[in-house]
Amino acid sequence: MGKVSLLEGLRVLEVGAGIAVPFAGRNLRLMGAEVCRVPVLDEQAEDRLPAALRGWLDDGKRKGAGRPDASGFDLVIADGRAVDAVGPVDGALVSVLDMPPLASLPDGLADSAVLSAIAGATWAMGEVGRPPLSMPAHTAAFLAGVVFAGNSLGLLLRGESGRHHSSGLLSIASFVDQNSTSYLHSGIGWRREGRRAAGSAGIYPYGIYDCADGQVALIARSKRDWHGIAAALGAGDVSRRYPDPFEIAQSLADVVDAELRPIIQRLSRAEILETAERDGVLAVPVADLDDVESYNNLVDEREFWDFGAESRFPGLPFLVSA
Amino acid sequence: MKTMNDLRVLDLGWVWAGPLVGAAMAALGAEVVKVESATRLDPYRLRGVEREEHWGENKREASPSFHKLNRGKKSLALNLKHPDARGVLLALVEQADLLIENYSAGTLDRLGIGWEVLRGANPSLVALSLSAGGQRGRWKDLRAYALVTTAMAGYESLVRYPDEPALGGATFGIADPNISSYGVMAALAGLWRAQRTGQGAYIDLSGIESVVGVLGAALLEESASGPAEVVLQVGGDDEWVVCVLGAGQEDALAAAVGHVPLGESRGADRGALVESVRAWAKDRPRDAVVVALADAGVTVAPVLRVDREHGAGGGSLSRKKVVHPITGESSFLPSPWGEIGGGHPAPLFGGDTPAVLRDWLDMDDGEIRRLADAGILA
Repeated sequence: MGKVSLLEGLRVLEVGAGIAVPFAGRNLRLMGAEVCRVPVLDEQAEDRLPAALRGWLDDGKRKGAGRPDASGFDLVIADGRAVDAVGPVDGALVSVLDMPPLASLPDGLADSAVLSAIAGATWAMGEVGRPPLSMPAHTAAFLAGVVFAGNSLGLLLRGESGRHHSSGLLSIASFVDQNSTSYLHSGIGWRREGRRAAGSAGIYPYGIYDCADGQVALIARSKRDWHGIAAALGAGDVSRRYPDPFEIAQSLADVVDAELRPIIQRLSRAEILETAERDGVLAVPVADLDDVESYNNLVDEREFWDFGAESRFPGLPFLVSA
Repeated sequence: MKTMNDLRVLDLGWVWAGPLVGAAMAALGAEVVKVESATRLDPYRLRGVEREEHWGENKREASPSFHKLNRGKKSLALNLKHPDARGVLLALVEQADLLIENYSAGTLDRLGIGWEVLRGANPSLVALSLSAGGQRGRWKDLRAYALVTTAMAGYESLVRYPDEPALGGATFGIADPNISSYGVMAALAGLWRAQRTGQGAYIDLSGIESVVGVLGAALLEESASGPAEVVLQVGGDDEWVVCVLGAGQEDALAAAVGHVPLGESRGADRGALVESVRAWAKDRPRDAVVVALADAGVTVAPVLRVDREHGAGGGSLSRKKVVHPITGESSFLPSPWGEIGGGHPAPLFGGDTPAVLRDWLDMDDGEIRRLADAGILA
């Protein structure tokens, strides 16, 4: 099977600001498009993005200058804060990402905190009674960029032309909304309270536990999952005495946690991963970024990492063959 | 060339990540057929209503989560484990432009409908597989539930208070939605190419890699220290605002709350400033704090409450209503990929089986009845 560049022949003009649109441009380029980036904000704003991040986002793009001109391009992707700088479009497709209005900081590092807060994600993260936590590491803006790249390709496939606006806020809020009904319906709080975490939707366990050399994540999505996890970890006695993961989530999470924790604390992360792979149970180590960077390749036969001079950066998370 | 409205999609997805890709295609205007079986029901058909016995036989039509992820689709019941179902599926594949699946890695091969077989049936087909670790890699046997991907990718280790262990639980915003977003992007790119060249493609997408894919800023250490984020408790129960302090914004913040301007040693003074801001904000209404700080030039946002502010996005996004034949009216936020064809409610299980077989395959009623009687359409 040969490798395939899906967007070979597509010419994209990127009128950037912040993180999301440049990240969309980066993904289009990695899929084979020819991307020309024209920075339109003032130099001071451009410089606010750390050089390494700017270099990662712009790697492989041509750099244009002056007023962005859409002629000669199949697709223009633009940040709503910069799109007015685009010249005549003459029937070209201009896909515009509107970010929530910010008081300042046009460098985009603030976009993520704002998106996370007003989408409802921040309120749902953290412990009850303590300050909420934002989606970390600007991931809300990166995720908005991936959605925007798809959005722009969708417009292209629909044969659209002219300006089309999409909402960065909607990207995050619609995902939170997909879960919100379920959580509110099940009566389980969003904010973390014991193991009754956001995401559990009323089934135990769902959360992070200390183990012998770090932390592990346990996830059950059914009664069968709960009993499988317990058996694989050597806690079959616990699941026999507490057989109903729905009831545990509602009222017994702390009690069962107290029995489960000492058992998990005797196991190493490697032992738990081996168990997960062997028995198909949902129990995996919580990796930190050093672990992730040490992955030789996340998945064999893939070329996920871009190798830079001194470091390596994430690439596309998929392999294409024909 | 076909446009989105002409495209036909076979959605073999279940749970969240796969169905969300199909929902995006429906929202963009494609005809999306969810292929499902009562012999192994999509768990999300029961998500959140597992113990609600009052639904009786309609329980599998009652899940709000399922409804949100499957709007705008049709449903075709097909038991892929039946030996004669394979022929029906491949006939549908001949008519399709995109096939989506997120079973455990290798499942399509085990069912005899792996990529080589699909490509043989339709050389211009784009097929998208979503899994935790890809179809062939070292973690191919891991099941792709949200917390598996975010934990393995390093994301959960970042959800923590300073100097405390990872807290986790942020998967609703990043795991399946992120995997789906990459999947939508890749599938549309594949469809763009197929429309131009007539050539299909197989896209093997890893959920773990998808999460790492948006951690570029964290993996670039220089970028990890961006502008400081300060969370302020304000008046009311569990009410908060988030400020983001970039270069030069400390003085704007100091002016807004009546704190003395920061001196040369800003690092040392910042702590005192933040304490002043906390004292200033703690009894003020949330929105008044936001307005005052924004007017002073500080980047600030209210922490909106999903539980009582019209759901995610607060009132700033328009919700749409849809009427489901079993559960009645509900509201949802539109798809971020558009809302051309997503206005119909999620389908009843198998509710479109005869219509799809007639429309796509010109099958007559007698043949449809024979397949149903044989347990293939189940």
